[in-house]
Amino acid sequence: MTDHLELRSGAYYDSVSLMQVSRQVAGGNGVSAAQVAMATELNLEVIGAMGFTVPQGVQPNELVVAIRADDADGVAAGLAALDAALAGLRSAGSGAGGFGAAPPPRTLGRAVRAGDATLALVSVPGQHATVEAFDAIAQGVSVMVFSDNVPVEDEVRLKDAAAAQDVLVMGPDCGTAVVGGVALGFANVVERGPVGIVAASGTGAQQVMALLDAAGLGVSHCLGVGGRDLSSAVGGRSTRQALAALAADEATESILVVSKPPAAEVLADLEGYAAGLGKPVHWATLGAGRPDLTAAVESFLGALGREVPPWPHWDALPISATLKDPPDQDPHDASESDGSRREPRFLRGLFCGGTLADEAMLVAAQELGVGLRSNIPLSPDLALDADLRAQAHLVIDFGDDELTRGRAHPMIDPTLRLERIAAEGADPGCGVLLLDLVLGHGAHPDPAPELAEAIRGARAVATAAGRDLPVVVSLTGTRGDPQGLDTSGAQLSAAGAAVHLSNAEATRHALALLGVDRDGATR
Amino acid sequence: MTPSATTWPAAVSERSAELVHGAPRRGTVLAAFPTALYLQVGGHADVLPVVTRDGLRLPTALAVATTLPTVGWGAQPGDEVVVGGGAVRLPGVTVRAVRTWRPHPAPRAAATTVGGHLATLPLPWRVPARGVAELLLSGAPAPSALADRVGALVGAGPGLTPSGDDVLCGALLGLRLHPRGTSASVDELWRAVQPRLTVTTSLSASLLREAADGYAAEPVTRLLQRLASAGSDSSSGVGEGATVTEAVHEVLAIGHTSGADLLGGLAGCLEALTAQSGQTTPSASTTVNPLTATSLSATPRSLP
Amino acid sequence: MSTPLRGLLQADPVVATAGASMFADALRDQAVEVTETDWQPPLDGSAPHLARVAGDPRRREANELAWQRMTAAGADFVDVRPASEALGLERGTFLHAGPPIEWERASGPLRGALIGAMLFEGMADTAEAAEAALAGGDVELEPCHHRDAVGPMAGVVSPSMWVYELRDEVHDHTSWCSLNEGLGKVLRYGAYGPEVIDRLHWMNSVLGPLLQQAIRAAGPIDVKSIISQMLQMGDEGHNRNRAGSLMLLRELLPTLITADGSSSDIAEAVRFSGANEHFFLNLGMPACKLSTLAAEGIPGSTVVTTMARNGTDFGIRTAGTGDQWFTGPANTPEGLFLGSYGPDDANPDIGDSAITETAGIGGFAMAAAPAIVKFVGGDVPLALRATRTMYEITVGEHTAYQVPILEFRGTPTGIDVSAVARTGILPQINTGMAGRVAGTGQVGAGLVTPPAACFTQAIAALAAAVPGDG
Repeated sequence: MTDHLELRSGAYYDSVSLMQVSRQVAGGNGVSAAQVAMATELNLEVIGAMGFTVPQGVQPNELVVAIRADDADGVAAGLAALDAALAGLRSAGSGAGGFGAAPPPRTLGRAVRAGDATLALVSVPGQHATVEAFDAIAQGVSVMVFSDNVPVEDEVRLKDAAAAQDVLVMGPDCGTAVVGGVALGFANVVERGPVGIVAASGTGAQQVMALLDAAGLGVSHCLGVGGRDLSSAVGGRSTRQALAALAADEATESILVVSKPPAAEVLADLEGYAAGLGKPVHWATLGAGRPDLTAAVESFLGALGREVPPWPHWDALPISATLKDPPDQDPHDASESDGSRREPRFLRGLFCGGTLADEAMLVAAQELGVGLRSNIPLSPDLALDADLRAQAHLVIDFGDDELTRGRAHPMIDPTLRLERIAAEGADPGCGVLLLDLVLGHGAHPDPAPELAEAIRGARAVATAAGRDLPVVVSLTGTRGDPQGLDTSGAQLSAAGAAVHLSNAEATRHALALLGVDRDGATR
Repeated sequence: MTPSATTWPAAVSERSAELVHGAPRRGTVLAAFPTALYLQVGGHADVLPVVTRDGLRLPTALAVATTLPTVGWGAQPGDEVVVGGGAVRLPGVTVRAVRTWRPHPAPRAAATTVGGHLATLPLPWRVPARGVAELLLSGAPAPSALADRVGALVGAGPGLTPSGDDVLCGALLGLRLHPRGTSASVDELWRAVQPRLTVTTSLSASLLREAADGYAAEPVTRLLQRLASAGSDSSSGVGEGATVTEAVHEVLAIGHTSGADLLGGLAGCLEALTAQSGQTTPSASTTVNPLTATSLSATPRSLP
Repeated sequence: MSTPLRGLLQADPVVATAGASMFADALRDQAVEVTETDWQPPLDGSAPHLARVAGDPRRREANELAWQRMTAAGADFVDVRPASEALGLERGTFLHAGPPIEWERASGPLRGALIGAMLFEGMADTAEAAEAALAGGDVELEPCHHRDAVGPMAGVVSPSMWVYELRDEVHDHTSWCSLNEGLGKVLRYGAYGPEVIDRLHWMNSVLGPLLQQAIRAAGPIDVKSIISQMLQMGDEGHNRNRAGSLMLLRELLPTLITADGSSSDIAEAVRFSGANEHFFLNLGMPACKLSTLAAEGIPGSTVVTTMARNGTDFGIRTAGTGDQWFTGPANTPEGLFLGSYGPDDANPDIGDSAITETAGIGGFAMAAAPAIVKFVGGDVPLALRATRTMYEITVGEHTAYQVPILEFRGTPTGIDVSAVARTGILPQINTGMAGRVAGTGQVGAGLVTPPAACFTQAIAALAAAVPGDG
């Protein structure tokens, strides 16, 4: 084995691009492992954990190249693959470069001016996002800030500056928006229609759009406002602007506000404001004692005089379906009758979507009668330790700021969650696995096979240990999504998972498989 | 036909969505420019423009988001194409409608003095447009009188969009913009224009039809919106006048004289409508040199 | 009624992005027009300061004002006088280029020039004696910039030396610069041999008085107008001044040849000035100084008002932070060398001449002077790229100084500290290279940038000056 570690300065690439580069390098002839990343603390830890010795005093703006190969030829092959991959990135990014071509814009403000843009999208690392967003606002365009890890005081300053310019800050940590039929960030392909959405939640908005799509209802615009907009600190600044804009938009007939649990006084304030807009405004705001998103969409449909369809779902296929003699029972039901279980078994919810995780916890807490441990707990006493483990019902949001620092969002890079799925397969305490999968623009081009594989693996490990591991997937997507909603649902169900379009239904199904009755006790 | 190797994503206008997403049918390339390709699909006035990002976005356009790659459209006038099933299939390229965009119709202004900003501009065709509008406003004009005036305009002039058609487009839009214009007068004018569409080019005919419905190329729509919200008081806020002036320059930049011709039609029509409301109007400029008008189109790029 | 959010919901979106290119690709796949930012992380440690400065509500207008004042400033050549008279420079004080420095840290060329000034002023008889006196602190050293003056290379001005005087009547400012000595072994490059001192004496006794007569008789000469013309004639105003020098001479000749003096003195003055292709530089520099002087003292502005080097340190000052210098170790230029000199012979960057770049010409106008690449190295595309890249870090475009090949676009003017820190693009400076050893003179010419540290310090200070709760 030969280890090669080098640092390159003056070359910055985003983490998503570098993931692709790492894969290309790892595919080099004779290369056994490779990691190419910016030298952030987290990335250095990863490289250190791979067994490489990282020198002291490395600057975060340097590029670290770590290659482990069979021999020197392998290292050379890896480096050749690296150069080719980086050259590919450069030529894709810059485009121009001849005698007469102007250098590409280096700041967002310049890019807005160069392209006469009407909207800006910021996805640089969080500590740099504020500057770019201010730049866009100064140019008089609305800006979607996908970046997370932006301080809340910066958010307030940005939103005040934007209001003064009559532009909107969508974000920070805004994963989803649809403006004039154009999907920004993570967004599903929806028909144009009469419903305007204001969303303080990315995956919450996606879930709602998926449900509306299933009900045959289209969307005029979906304006993300950032997950904290309805907090006391931010006070609904962007929501107010978005409501006013949708109220004035002729394509919008009714408005639906989607949010993670909001601050009560902010919600009350906004409800008062919305009442004066002259267009019906409905609320899908999560919270203890409030309806889940599915219920909120159902009552919204009711208010429009529309029928509530049965929400799409795909039953878990017995894993032995390909065998000659399939069992005539749902394997999950079979497991429930298995009297051999003695130790307590818990719900393990592993999510990419923060709002989907929130909703699952709200639904489960109500059914179980106990709070769920989480890295995004509904109350502080339920917080998980840094190792994210507990012998309890727990829900992990892999898209949370803490877990995305220095790496791509799990909807793009699912590594961490896939590892945890495998770990749960081996954990006797895991009674049911609840997962989400979100399709649409921006997400992994075809995530279902990888997740299905992980589900099969975890279930096989459990089976080998004499346990059954039921899996439920909450699948958020529309029929227009490039990944294919039906195909994805079928692939997951073939791996033995029960699949639901409604996240609330998925959660209840998981609880049922755990054998929870209304008293919250496990059978 | 073998499937094309290259696919360009494009946004289709709501006004052409049915055509593009409908059953595949054959069409013909009418004209090919670096920034636009005009396809005839169906009848004489059924034209689908395919435009690049730096091309003129007509209200029916299928818009690709990039500038033209050096290979070009790969299509010549007369070539056969297939339109439908969500795409336009050119000999070497498939342009696929992945999204729908929504053009905006001409707004209706509140102020009866709308168009004051255009009063002092030296524009061609102001007088004939005013004549057409006055005739429409005179109560019940003799159909033959209107037919004579319209007949003199439709198809008059060279090019893909003859000047006379541009003037009529301007007049049709003016009747929608001005609060005194009525849908009856729009219909009346359209009834005079429609039977004569075959004497002009297909592209021009399709644009006349759009104008009758209140739709026009993006710079024109933008100007109408600014005129509507600016009112007509030309001595109003500096910023307001500046945004109208900017929009006027953009319209003047259309084609060789198309923008100026349309603007002349619009200005003449608005003049007649404003005069009818009993207000004094500035004497119509008789300067009809389109070169003077188009020379205004060199808009300076503003400083950051 | 106006449409909310500037019509965002009505228009077909056109998007600009900064960050992961997958989002731009996803938009292109939807047939959306996208302009991508070639985003890079900012200079190390500047992120929190940048965020603070970006939110300063004064900044946009303050920078607009700075740009407007810089481009509006006039520059009339009005007089030639001894420094003692013009600047009130008292015996025992020498001015020098760049930020403040003491003898101990002074570089070879600056030391050489100071020694030369001692000899010239008769304050020492030998170089050794001069050095001892300077090391002993007998002479007060002060930056030219502290007296609104500028000096090329070492920039040493002693009280007896004659200086050009320029006026900005728009803002009522005056600036000064020493007379140019020509090329080769000259004081400004740190040479102090007998021929250097003799030439300085001749300039004092013959050239200065003749030029004074000439300019007083000719009346003010509009230097700003000459700069705008020379940029259209292949000069960039820092390292190439050929057209500018000829135009200046053309303006001065009628009154110079009729001045009260011996015909041989006049002939020598004309020959000396005409033979020097940098004759104009010493007027272009104070003209640029008047431009940046007009932008000084604007709270909230992040525009650079001074870039200057003393051969050891590079220093900058900004409109929003007053007289405070932000310094870092000067870089050594890269470029072409004279004769047998090589990189080891070059001293780190020196001189106040970077005032030209600060005001929007010199390296910033390199596209106007493609021939410069034969002098400073590089190729013609580099010259074009240099100017176009500088637009990324400047607040505006000059209204009088234009680049023909860029369709007469105004030169990039008003360096924005925050844009430099954000992009890591450092200002491009064209410069001469002085020999490292005192007394050597010029060894070459080339390209150089300021150290990034100047800008990281400046952005921190600008952030600290933002009013508010933080």
